[in-house]
Amino acid sequence: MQAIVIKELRENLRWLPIGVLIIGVFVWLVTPTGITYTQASSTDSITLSCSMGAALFAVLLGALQSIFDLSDKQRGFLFHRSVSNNEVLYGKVIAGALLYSLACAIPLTCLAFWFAWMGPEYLPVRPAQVIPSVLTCVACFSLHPATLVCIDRPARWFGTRLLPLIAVATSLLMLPLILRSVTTSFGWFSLAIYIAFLVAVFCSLCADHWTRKLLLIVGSAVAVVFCCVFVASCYQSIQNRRTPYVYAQIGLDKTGQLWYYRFRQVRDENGYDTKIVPLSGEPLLANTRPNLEATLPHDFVPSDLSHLHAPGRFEPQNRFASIDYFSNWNTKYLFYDNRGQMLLYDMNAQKQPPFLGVVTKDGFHAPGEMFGPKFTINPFLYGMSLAASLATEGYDRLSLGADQAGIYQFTPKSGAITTLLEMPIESATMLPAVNDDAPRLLLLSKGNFHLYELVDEAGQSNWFEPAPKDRQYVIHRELPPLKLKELAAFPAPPKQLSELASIAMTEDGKFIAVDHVNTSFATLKSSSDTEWQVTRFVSPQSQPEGIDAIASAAVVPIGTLFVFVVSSVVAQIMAGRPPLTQLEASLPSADLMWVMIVVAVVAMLALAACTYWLCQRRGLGRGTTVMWSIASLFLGLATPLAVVAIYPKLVYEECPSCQRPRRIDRDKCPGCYAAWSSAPPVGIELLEGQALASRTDLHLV
Amino acid sequence: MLGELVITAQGLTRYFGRKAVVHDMELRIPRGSVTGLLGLNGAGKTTTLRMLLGFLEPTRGECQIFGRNSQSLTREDRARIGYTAEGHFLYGWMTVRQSQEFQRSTFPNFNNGLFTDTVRRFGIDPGQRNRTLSRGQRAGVSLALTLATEPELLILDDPALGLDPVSRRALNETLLDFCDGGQRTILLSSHLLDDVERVADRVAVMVHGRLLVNTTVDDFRERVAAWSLDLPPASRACESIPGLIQARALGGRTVVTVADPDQETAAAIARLSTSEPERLSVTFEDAVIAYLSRSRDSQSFLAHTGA
Amino acid sequence: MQIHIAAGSPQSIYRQISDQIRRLAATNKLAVGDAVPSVRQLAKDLVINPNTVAKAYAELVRDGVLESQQGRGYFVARRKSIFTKAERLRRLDEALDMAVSQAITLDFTQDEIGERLQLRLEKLLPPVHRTE
Repeated sequence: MQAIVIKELRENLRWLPIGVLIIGVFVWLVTPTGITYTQASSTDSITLSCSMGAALFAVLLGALQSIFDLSDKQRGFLFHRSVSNNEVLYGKVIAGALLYSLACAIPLTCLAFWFAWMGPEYLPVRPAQVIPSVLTCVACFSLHPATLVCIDRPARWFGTRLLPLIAVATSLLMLPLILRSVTTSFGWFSLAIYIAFLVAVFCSLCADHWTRKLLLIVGSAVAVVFCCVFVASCYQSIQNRRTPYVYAQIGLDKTGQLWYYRFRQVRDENGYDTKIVPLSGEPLLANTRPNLEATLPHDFVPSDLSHLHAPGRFEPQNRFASIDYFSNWNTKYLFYDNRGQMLLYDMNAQKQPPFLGVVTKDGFHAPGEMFGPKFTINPFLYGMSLAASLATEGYDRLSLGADQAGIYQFTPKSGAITTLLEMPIESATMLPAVNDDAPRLLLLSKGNFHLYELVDEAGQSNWFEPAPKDRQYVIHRELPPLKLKELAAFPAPPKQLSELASIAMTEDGKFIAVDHVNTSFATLKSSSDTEWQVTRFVSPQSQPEGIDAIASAAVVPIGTLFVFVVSSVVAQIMAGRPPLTQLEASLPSADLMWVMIVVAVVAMLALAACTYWLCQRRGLGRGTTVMWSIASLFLGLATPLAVVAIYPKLVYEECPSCQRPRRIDRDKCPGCYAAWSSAPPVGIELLEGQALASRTDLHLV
Repeated sequence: MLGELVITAQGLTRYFGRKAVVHDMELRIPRGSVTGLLGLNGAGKTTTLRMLLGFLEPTRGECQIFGRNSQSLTREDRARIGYTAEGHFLYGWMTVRQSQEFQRSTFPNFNNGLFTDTVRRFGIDPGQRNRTLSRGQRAGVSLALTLATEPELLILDDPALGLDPVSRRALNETLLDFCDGGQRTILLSSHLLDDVERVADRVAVMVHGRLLVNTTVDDFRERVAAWSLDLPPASRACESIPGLIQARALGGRTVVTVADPDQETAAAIARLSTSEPERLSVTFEDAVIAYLSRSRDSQSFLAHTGA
Repeated sequence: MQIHIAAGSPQSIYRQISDQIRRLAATNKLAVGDAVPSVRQLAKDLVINPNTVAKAYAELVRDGVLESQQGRGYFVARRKSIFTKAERLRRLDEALDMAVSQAITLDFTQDEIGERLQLRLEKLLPPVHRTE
């Protein structure tokens, strides 16, 4: 094995500069001297870019190390040795790993040194920022053995050859999600599965190992899901182009009645904004399924519910892949950096890069001072919507922010920051302005709602001016320095609504909350009331029904039944909710339900029959055939693809004795039990010791 | 009668798609023999050799080397087999010495002295890079690498392809040196009939994926005979001759080559010819070519050449 | 001792070897008791398969031209008749038939053929043999 490793190292050393170049280019893209200033040098962009380069090189290296072995000559030379096939392949992986780690280490070390040298004075960077990239690079190496498997595996059709690579590449796309959820038990569970999967990828290098089949099944499932999603989205976009999309949602009218209604979005006369045109709907009453086709009252003007944002649900805070969020104050950009700081850039500044400094909870810091109390999450991720109500009234969009520990007011231009409130926050929203009063802030903290009024430093609320009704342009007014004045505290809705997403305050001071899966709502008569009155309802299908529902009933079992149902049920259980809430919400109305069930069952049976036929065609045993047919009920269309990928195609030939087709790779004919008659003699076979005729006297002629 | 068998195959068949490339092959190769595997390009020689070495799975039937199924050859078995694929593949970036080192570290019984001797016979400088070697030199290095592992069985796929006369001579000498003790076995495919006649003591001929001949060279020669008949060249009447291998036109007469002629054959020939048929001497080449020409025109037994 | 063989000739290689050694022994170029090269040596010299040489030697031993001495190799044997008189005559007739028919097709008279045959016999066979 050592000899193989050394040979592979020497042979493929020439690809090392190419690898360094590829990964180096991807790293260079994220330095501020690269292409953009705006997204550059954040840990996320480095990680993303590096892993793209590393993934590319891993596949390239794997292919270059093995593709030449497809030639019979080279294969004969390399594999005919006193070394087992597996040793050759694992030797390739070890050599590949060494080269790959060098190719990753050189640019990343350079980047770390560059960061250390530039320091936080020039750019808000630290050498430690490359560590997440190192981890993702390690994970990306799994593409290398997957490529070796792809090339080593005999497959007639190119598509099925690629299945292991598809499986591994998809697992890499899932990696950020898994790492982000790693504080929950579900996260640890999925991380364990992911690591087991990586081990399986390495095991699958052995040709006869069962993990190779597993890899093919996963690859088939992923490929089928991708295809179905692609087809469905194509269908959807064609459909949308033909008819304007009709949405459905819950809205509130002036009297405080909840409605389920359908609407269409239309561009207004200016072409800048869209406005909502309600089409039809019905009030939400107790235990009903509202009829979306019902006629709306003539004077129905909906006002939307505010969405409560629950930062607590997104723990841990953007450990690996957060989204950079930026605002603009004229030319100044503020980024959230996932180290808990905001970074301030000025695009008009003469200096390059235009880095001005860091904003932490305690205020603005000049470049070089990278310390200070950190935000627990990006305050704008939710603050953005927090200030949305202010923004609709013409105030600056990013003037208010919230994280899990408080509410902050940002002063544009200077980058200064004021902490308005310090308390643990589970969820927050801004209730829209009513009657030209300033919007009010509603916080959920420790099971209680807290209602705040925004007042100026004098404690007055008259600072607020609604936006002019006939505004022709978007204005960005600056907020005056504000304070928060608590108006009321009252209990949060009961547990079944605790994951609530939407809340509204009616003009008469009534509160209405709707849970995020749209199955129940609760009302509170006023802030002094202590009991919420909970009402359950069945949310109607929001999409146009009919042929769509039938099509989706057919597509779901074919493509995504397993992935969709099982993953959603598992996710619900892990989150401590009843397992079927998500599903219930997406079911169609009762009359179409039967059609859908019938179509789904027919599609599943057809698929099982198709799998059974395919297994028979591939000559599998009874047990295996039944197993695959049952599996097709769960795995959908992936099953026939997996069968095609795993088992070689059989060729049939007419049986010379009974004239029925028979497999060429079996000695006995299943019909007549005849063996293959060895080829009919031509009469000129000369085999040792088997004279065709006695040679007596040849001198006759 | 054949002594200990090194290679055996029973009903060995391989399809590529719907086409049978090797068809129901029964093969027995005794220890100590040098077998020349002959056949046109595409007759299934390389496929057979790759199946024997376990690089290709047979569609049905099986083959064994040293009594072990080719599909499950262990590293110890492989150490006893020397194999050179068609075209004398070597890693171009290695020097001859590095190739030697690589081979030495992956075979237990590598004989450095034997390697040096063989390489010298082909006139090669061990410091040279493989990619700068001529075809003959490459063949030499390739052969030296294989022989130096001291295998008991040598399987060579067209080792003489593209070699100059001097290299061919060196190749033949090397092969004969190798099987000197009478315990080592060689199976080689080739297109050079003269060399096979010299070096091999057994001959196997494949036509259309079928093994039609597998016997000693002398037995093969003795059992193939040819007559010149007074028969119009285009006549299909020859097809009735039992054991007819090939009939071809030669100067207005027809030459028929037959396998294992007996009295019946002789009678059939005498019946066809208007004058007395003339017995021709058959060289090894004639006999092999008679077999190989069949595959060119397998529909008709008559190969219309010359005339 | 010099032996030439040619591949691709109508005669098989082993027959070429045995014929040439037979002729060498017949013409006393190899005297009785002379050693012939070992199988391996001859195979190496001629670049042919040793089994072929072995087969030729085996035939020569069978025909009494050579004798094998255990461990020492092959030697030219004292000539002895292993065929019956009738068989010898048949073989002689066969050889003469061929030569005579060729000669006739070349338009030679009976005398001319006899004269040439006599000359060859004188040249090939030493006088001692003739008087025997």
